[in-house]
Amino acid sequence: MIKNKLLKAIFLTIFLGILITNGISQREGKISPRLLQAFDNKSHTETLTAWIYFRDKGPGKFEKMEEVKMGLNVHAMNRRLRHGFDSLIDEHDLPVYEPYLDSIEQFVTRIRHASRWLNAASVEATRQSLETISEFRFVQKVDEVMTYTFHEPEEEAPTDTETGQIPRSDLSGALLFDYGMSLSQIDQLNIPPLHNLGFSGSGVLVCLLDSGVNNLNHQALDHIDIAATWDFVNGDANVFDESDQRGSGDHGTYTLGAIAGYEPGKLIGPAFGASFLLGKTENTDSERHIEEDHWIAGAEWADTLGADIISSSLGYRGQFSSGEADYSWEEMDGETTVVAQGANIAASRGILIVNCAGNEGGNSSGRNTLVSPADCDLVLAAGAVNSQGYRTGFSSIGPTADGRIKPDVMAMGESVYTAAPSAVDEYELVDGTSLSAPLAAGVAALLLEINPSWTNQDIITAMKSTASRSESPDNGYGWGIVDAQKAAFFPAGNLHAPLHFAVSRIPNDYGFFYQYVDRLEWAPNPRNEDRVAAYRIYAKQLEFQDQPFEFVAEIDSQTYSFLRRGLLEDETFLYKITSVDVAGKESGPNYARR
Amino acid sequence: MKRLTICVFLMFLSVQAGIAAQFALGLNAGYRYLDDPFLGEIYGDGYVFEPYIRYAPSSSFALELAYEGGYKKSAPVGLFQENSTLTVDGFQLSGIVRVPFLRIRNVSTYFKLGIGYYFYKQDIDSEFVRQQVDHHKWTTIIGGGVNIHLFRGLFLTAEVKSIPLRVKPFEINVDLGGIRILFGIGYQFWL
Repeated sequence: MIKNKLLKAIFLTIFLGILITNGISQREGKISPRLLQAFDNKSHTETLTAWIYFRDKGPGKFEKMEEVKMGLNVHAMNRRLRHGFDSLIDEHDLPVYEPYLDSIEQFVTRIRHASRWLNAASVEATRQSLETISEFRFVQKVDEVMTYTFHEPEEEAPTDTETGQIPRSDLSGALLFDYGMSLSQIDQLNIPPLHNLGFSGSGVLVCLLDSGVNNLNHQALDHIDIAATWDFVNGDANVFDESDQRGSGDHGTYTLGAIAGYEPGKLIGPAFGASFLLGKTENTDSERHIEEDHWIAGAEWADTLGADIISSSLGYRGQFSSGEADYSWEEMDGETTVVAQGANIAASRGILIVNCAGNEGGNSSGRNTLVSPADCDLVLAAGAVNSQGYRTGFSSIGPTADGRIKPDVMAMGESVYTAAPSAVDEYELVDGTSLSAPLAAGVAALLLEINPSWTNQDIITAMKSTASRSESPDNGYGWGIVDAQKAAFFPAGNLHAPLHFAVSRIPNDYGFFYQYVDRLEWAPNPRNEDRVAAYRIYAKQLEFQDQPFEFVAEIDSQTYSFLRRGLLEDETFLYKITSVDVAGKESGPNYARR
Repeated sequence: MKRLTICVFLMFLSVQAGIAAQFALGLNAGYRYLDDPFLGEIYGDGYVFEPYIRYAPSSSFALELAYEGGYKKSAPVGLFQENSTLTVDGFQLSGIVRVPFLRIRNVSTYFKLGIGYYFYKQDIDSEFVRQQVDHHKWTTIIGGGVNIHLFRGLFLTAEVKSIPLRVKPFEINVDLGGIRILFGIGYQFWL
């Protein structure tokens, strides 16, 4: 009898031991080593910032996908279609399952952001709370939110003596605009010929992820079409400086001025006619102390609102402040960092991300000094040259950890003339790859205006293939200094989609009922010259899942509008238009949705 | 339609039952207004005709079965001014009560209350039109008139009546009703 009891007790002890050990190891398995290391430096009651990754997005996936699809922003839909994303959405677009957020909310100090792309929430919580949360069945992983200090370049002479590009010459009489002191940064990228043709980025939506903009009343910025603003650091729509909030918008004023400034005789940016989303994703309280979850949230916001281009003068790496974690150079492989993962998802939805290469300069060890997400394949990394075309000493170098050449292209990043944060009529000369990125992004906006059917990959290919060192790219200059004119007309000979394709719906009142007419309008693409024989219009009804595009009409080459009649109120269509040459060959499409 | 058939059948039965009754046959014609402002502007008011049969079991009361037709108007409609035709017609069954407003020999006045069963149809000459207006609706009739008796059962009629007809075949409310001003001639006889 006693023997039996003893055996039972031993058995029970072993069983409980297994259960407890298993529980602990499971919990520890969910918490990343990086976060466990951070735990060692924190007490149980100190707050950490962490990612909580969820296993799934809850039940009812297909219904939710249909709902998300119908609510997709027109601009975002067009962009996705242009990139062959025919299903329009995938699981990444579903929001984080609300009950999961509700479950963790009671344990955390604050939920900072919920990322649909990563299926994760960034939270501020104590170690104890994070350990508790990690035990939830629906939690897949708990990781640290990385924070960094991004360095501005130090004042120094260029170290590279090799000429990058001879500045363009013989501009007398060729300029439509008076670029003032911004001429060298604009001329170096061969932008004036495109401005002369009337292109300014019109119709292109650019999202600037930066530190906020604190001088939107500046004479060179007050013309800008601001589609939306959001402060991801402080959680409100104000991207100006606010006395009771964190961060200063000096840096954002510089970058916005560089890409979109317009004050003839003073400053003209490459894409002064584009529309902008201004996302404040950086807290500049302590140097440029930045956190990756704000960037991810900003990129998702840009996608939701239909941005074509993200110009990001932020980067994640560098010499870190005490207590901040580090990504190593080996992790700059375009996939490892959280921002790289976010940037890759953004790129898969057709957003062109132009990111600064970084201000970490070169080194003799052969290791890269890139910041992420400049390391991503589909992110255009912009390095810095001076006005003479030399690479600046601070401009980060490649290759990526997996051996790809980086940066991709170069633009001026030394003494870039731009709007000053201090007064509405003052200007400054600013250094940094932070300025190269908006200049390159501005060129990308011009390219997209001229070539609305181009994908983000097409733009990158055109910019790289026509840049000053396209024949012999290297890890200092990448493919060289951008040539906007050559890139815009690259490759010559192809037929291009018509421009500014738009649709408006007009009611047709028959007395007893309405039917509707979709008025489609477009403009001829000057790149096609007189090669267009006709335009073809196709439509796809959005109420029916996976319905293909159906041919609607062929319009002669001199007509730039079409009325599609006989529509009912609840019918919504996505239209695509192509240019057709005499042989019947079609260009890439341009899209429009009512 | 069923109710109308029943009324006609009752009239027929009363005759068959041998109840001596006065009948009248007549034809009115005149003008009708179209209340709907939108359609009124497109198609406008119009002329109508109205053959009828009256059955009067007593000297002060009669039942009348009538058909109103003739309103068929063509006009361009919509953004593209496509040719279209609007037709409105219908049957009316009314009770008529003689009211002695005027003490004039050979002149009688009456008040009329009834129901109507109206058909309305809009034909649009367009390959793009996907909705067909070919509907019907019950309505009410209220009106009054004057009979001037001539000789040998012949009489003249002047009548004013209102027939409201608010319809909504699709998403728009349309008022096809309107006042009718009619003049006509009739013949009364005994069976």
